[in-house]
Amino acid sequence: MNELMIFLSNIRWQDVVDIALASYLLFRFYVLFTGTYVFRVITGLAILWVFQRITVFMGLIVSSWAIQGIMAVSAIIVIVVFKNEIRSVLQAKNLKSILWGFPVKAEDTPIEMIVESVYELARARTGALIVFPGKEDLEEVVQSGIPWGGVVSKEMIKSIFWHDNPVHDGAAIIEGDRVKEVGGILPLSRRDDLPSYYGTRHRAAAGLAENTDALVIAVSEERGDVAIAKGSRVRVIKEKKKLLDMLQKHAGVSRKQWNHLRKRNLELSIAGLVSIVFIAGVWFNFTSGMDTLITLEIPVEYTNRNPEMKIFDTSVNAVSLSLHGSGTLMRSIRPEQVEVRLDLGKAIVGPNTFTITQGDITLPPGVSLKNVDPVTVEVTLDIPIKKVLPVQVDWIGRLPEHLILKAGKLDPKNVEVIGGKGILENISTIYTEKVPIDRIEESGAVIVKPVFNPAFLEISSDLDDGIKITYEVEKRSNRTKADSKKQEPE
Amino acid sequence: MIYKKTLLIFSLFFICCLIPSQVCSQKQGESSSSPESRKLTLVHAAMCEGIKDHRPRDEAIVFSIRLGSIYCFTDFEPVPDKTNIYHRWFIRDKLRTERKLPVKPARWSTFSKIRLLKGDKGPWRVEITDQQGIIFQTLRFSVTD
Repeated sequence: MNELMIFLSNIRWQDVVDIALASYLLFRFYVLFTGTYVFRVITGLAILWVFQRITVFMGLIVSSWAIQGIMAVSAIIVIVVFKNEIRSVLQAKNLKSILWGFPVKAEDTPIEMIVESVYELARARTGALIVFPGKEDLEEVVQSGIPWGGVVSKEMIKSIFWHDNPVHDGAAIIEGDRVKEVGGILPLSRRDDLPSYYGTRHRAAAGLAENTDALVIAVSEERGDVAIAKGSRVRVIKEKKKLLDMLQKHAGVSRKQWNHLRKRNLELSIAGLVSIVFIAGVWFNFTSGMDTLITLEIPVEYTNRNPEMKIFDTSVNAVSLSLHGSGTLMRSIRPEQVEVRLDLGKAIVGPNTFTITQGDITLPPGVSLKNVDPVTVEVTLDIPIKKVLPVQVDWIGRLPEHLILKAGKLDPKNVEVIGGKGILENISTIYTEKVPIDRIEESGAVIVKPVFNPAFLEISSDLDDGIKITYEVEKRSNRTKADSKKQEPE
Repeated sequence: MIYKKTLLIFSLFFICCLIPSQVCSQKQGESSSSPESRKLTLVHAAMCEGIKDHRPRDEAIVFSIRLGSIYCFTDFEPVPDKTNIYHRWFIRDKLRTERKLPVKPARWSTFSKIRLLKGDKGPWRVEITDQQGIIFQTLRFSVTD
């Protein structure tokens, strides 16, 4: 109990938001893709993953390898094969429906208006054939339908079945509040038990009702009655109320429908609950368990530097961060997720010492900082300037005894160097790389490169060819040591 | 009366003596007031292994540390007035020593010398400056094995 209280007290508000947000995303995924093959395949993949973990746990090498392979291929297959379904969900729906809308049955059919229209057609002895599809697809059964797409209204229904309308003999298919198609040709019933006065229109209504779960209204032109065909039954409906009830029942606006809605709401509630439990479980798995410590070498980024200044030297380029968190999190952490940024906004010209604090370090959620090494960073900033400096040869070695290196000419004699103002003020010479003299026997020339100390100095002039040293060697004059001693001043 | 005559004779004598000397000093003043020709000028400077007959011996740009000492020779002409010049010895941009050397009219050559120690190998330079620190010339050389 005590442990539970400690655990609960350690939960941050970010954790609650984290779980809520992730749960909602999972729930939305279910809502958007439920009923589609995508959801089923992903469910299958999830089961495969569970199996794969079990096989790994049990040490079944080949099985786990095979399942892993299937999963890898399946992930690609899901995206390629179901790209249309995924696109239709993301494109066809607006942002609202993606984020918080729930799939609802298509717009309610304006049944009362249709009933009124049907009886007006009957009174006017205008033949009509109206189809209300059920759950089955009618595309294979109804032929030659002309797409219409108009919103249902009395006037539209009357105009469709008007004698002079070219499509008045065909069937109008109403889905939701729209006339989907007109002029549709329905399959004729071949039954012998239908009344002999039923013409082609009624036989067509009976034919479609027999073959599908659609409900068909046929208005007789000769008798002015309204017949309804549903399943194998065709009967004349004289009362508007009865036709209204039958159409409502067919459209699903009934107690059964309410039960269906309640079931649907229950299903969504369970899905929401499962999402929360699942995500909370994943979160618990990520944030609890064995406390693991890892060390990462992270490069230091310097921000907010005065644009006039330039970084000329840093004591370190990267710092070693000791991080701890749950084993799951630590195993998945990547160096790119961790950042160390030092704000140089208050830096001055010259050496600056910064202490790396928690605020300078960005860590993934759930990961804590244990130690930083080194904790301080020296950053040398300066205003870059150019300075022309003379070049001097750095001779080394031992010249043969009988020779004197009399003179040396440099080309170029000076080089222009870019560096920090503070640094360049204290530098008056650029030295060449070390030039050995041991093997010099006569005058000659050599090409050398300059050596920059400190190394961050840059040369602004073009020195690709290096510095040419033309040296002059002379044979030593004969003299005695005594002579030289005599000449030495006091 | 006698006093007046005596005063007149002294005055004439004084005028006669004074006029040529003023003319002479004016001439001298004109010749010495030419700033270009009377400027302290370094005519020769060299690093060398020794000095012989007031001249540098074995001028070079590389010296073996085994020599034990090296010299910086400078020759000035003209030297308008008695003054001091400086030899400032640097090893790798670090001032090792500064020697103050007097120079006297009309021509003067002088030198400074340092003893080489074990850690003195490397590139050197000697700046030859006047009293105001204005550099006449910089001599660059190396001390090697």
